Amino acid sequence: MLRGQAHSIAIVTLRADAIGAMSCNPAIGGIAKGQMVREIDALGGLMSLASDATGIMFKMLNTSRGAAARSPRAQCDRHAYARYVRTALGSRQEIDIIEGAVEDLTVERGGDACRCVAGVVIRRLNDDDLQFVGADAVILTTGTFMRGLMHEGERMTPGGWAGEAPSTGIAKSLRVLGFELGRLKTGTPPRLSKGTIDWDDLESQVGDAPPTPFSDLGLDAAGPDGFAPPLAQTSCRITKTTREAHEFIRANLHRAPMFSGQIESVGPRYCPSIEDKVVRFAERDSHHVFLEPESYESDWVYCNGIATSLPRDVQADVVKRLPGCAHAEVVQWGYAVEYDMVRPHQIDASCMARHIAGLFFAGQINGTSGYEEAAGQGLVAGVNAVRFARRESAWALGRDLAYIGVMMDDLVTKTPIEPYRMFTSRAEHRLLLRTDNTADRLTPIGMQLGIVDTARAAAFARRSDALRRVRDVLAGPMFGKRARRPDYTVETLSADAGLTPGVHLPWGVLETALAEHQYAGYLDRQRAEVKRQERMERRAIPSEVDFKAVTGLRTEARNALERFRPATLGQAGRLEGVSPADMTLLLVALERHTRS
Amino acid sequence: MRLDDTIVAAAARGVPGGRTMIRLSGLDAIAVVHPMLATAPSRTRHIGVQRLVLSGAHLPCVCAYFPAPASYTGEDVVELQLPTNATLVERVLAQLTQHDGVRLAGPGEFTARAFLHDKLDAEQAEGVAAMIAARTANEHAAARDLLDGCTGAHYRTLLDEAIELLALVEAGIDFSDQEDVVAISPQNLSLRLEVLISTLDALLIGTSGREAPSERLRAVLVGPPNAGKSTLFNALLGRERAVVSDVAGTTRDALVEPLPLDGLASGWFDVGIDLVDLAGLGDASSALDRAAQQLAREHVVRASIVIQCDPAGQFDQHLPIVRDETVTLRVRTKADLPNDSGAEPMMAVCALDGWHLEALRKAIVDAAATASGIISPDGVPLPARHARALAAAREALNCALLSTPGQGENMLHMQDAAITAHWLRNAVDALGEIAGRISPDDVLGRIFATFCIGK
Repeated sequence: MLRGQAHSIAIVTLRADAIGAMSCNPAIGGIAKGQMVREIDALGGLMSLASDATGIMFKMLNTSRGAAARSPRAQCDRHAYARYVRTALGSRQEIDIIEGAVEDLTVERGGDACRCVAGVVIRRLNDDDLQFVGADAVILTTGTFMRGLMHEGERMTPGGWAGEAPSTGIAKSLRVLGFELGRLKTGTPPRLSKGTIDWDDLESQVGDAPPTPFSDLGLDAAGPDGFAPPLAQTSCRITKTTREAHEFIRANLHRAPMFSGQIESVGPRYCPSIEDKVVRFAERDSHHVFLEPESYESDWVYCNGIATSLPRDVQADVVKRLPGCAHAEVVQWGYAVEYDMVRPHQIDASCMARHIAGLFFAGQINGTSGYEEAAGQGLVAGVNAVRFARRESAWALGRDLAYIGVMMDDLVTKTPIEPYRMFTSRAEHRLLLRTDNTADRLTPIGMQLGIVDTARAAAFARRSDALRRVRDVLAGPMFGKRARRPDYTVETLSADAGLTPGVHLPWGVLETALAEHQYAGYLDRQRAEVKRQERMERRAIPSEVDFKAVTGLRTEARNALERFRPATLGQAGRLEGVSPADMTLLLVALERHTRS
Repeated sequence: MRLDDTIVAAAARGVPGGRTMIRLSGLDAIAVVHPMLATAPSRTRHIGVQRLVLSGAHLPCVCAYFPAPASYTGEDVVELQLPTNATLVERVLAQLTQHDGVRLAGPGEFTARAFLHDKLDAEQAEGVAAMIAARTANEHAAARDLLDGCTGAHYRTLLDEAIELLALVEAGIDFSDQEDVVAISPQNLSLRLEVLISTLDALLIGTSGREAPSERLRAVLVGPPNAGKSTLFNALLGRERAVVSDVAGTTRDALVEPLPLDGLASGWFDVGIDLVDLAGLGDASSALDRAAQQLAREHVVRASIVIQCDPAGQFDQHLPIVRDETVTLRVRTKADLPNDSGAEPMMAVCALDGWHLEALRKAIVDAAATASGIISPDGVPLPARHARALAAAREALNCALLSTPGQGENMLHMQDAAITAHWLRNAVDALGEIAGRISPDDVLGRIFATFCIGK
């Protein structure tokens, strides 16, 4: 927020036309990630709307595995998506977009001796002079750009994405301010020209018809035929790596930065490069590769499955040996990128730096990976930056309310060993955190926060009303046990109850009602569990509590508490090295502190 | 740790035929005990003889009600005194903890609650806190020892299998979009669950038959010859049991007598204490002295409470070897005589005029409470704790089994991977109690090590 102008926001970015650009696969959602997109939607976010408007292949994953596992995913048109986001931001009068690099952070002493952010020093595009931009709150979202270094075989290029310069000033600035930085690695595969692939010879993979949209607004608006995506739907192709390619990779491992020692930072285990897969799973002589069209406005195809930092000649060889790709032309080479993060024990669950008021971090700077994880933090940081500027209290989501809450809590209680990605198994209350009930969980909170518009509030009211009706129906004698059978589906319920989505009630309501019916005992149990833990979970640990002065704590526990400075007893209990006995000591010390 | 639920612990060890106390504190304390009693008791503060109904059988028990706030913790407290029998106690605990919102107490929880309800002052609470820390350190050591042995290795194998199954089920949820991940087949999962359950069954049969160590607590009097131990012994007993003389080395044998606890046990604490008078430890001039002193040292090693007596208040001569968990009290005996040591003993007592005798008796009871694990209820013997964890794991695994597809129609459990994972996670948590805590990251690690994840 620019000082003196109420409700004004500046986005400082290296290139305005790169806003909304997806550096890796232009796909949104996926298992656990899809739940987060739905949560962002329920809180009035943009990601779901952009995906629904530009999706070219939608797929609901895990449909056969029960309501708690179901996750939406969509491939989007890369160019249309970015344009949608830029248009949405451009339509907001209160947002200024400044092209330039943030070179430094300005911090001043606050009234009570704490440090407080004052603004940023920027260097505008095509301008050598530095300029100060004052702000009440600053959100840093450095992505892979902070001291970004790209690797392509032996070749190293400073930068965050292909063709983009890195940002170096800000890393130095953070270090001077006392932040502990870490370094992570991620990678991306080569892109091919669709016209040069023997597309029609390959096995095809299609999306859902009709697709399920991410947004509750899309569900609310859909008629009896379901959601009609604005863009034509496309399909993917499946091919695979070959034994010869694996042998060639093995023969060239000494040129792979991952193995030559050129890259020392840690990459994600869930997203290994092809050279990693060949080494770790040596018994396999083939891996699937999904060829995913990126856009109707270009013929780029994303090679999902062969992320790599091998040199170009090896990449070319691997691609040529993919069935259907003998003549494929590589339009962008795969690369790995190393970048700096701020170790996330230095923020709290509102994304604010613990030692500098008003400074927020969101996205890869906190050690996460993925658009959805970044967007979730962006939402938390955005809401809190505004609340901070308005002198309102910080806002955080609990682990029992949202995957976003699970993520924030994990970030502030765990030491990252790889880029953090959401999985449903991270959520102890997975049965409560379903895709179908995001609106019920979060839209009322969004309304309280003032981040949900009237259209969404109206859609939510219609949904809530319909949900009440279906619950009543399900309580009737003809359902009961019968509707608890695993083969009893939403379609059966629709037929039995004579309720057609898009006619009698909005889409998505039957899913929630049936999940509640089928999981009933478990949901009660998990809710009771949450309620029991609530008092301890939410109990605040005042920042002045000195862990060194707590009698009897083991050194390991004391160190963990001092490093992470948990904000609540719940967080303290999740720190590695803090035992139940340590928690008793902490509780006694806390109570003593409160009384004195 | 939580505060809004009800905690329960078996509070004392006793000899078979003695009594064991099961204590509950919290909102549901009265409500969950109620259905287990043959006749509905009044809900006012009282103590009375009751009959406990367990699988249709009636057992005599003493039941004490302390409604909030007039109780040790300040919450509703119910105490059941039962005949000491490990199996019986386990069954009662199991029946109580099957209620939602009732669980076994963690270390120091009764005391923490007492403190939170203003029943203890901060100094007392911190004293207890320090003690818990020490106890916990001991338990860690004990757990480590156990894990090094074959029992621990066995638990570890069980836990490993449970984690493995959880990882396979989780992989089928979180990574079903990965080509490499073939979710474990329902048949294979059922089979492995059945094997695991029967392994636990076999273990549980072995465990429930094992008796908890069931000694009465022993408090021994040690010190140099002629320190006044026998005089103190008699004074504490309230009768002339030991021969007393001014001649050093009068006591040769170990004298064991129950310590009267009138007015001190107060229902909060009901384990018997035996007081033991021993030969003085010092220079042994004869073979008989050496034999007497050797016997005394053996008693000291086995004692739960060591009362070190020294009229000089020095306490540094011939320090006997004690176990880590033994509580030591230092007493300057013959407090009527002038003390020129300058040292500050913990307590000065004169057995002749009874000066501070009551304070000492109280200190012994407190020490017994500490030593018997009342304040730290996780001090219950490891095998019992194991039996509970194993039984909980078995129950959870059985639910997991019922939730796998192909188990026929059952209305108890949705046949759904997320539900199977839910129960497996409960089983892993239960086994983790005795074989080491595991986190979701450990399960993910297992998945990444097993499957080639990543398109």
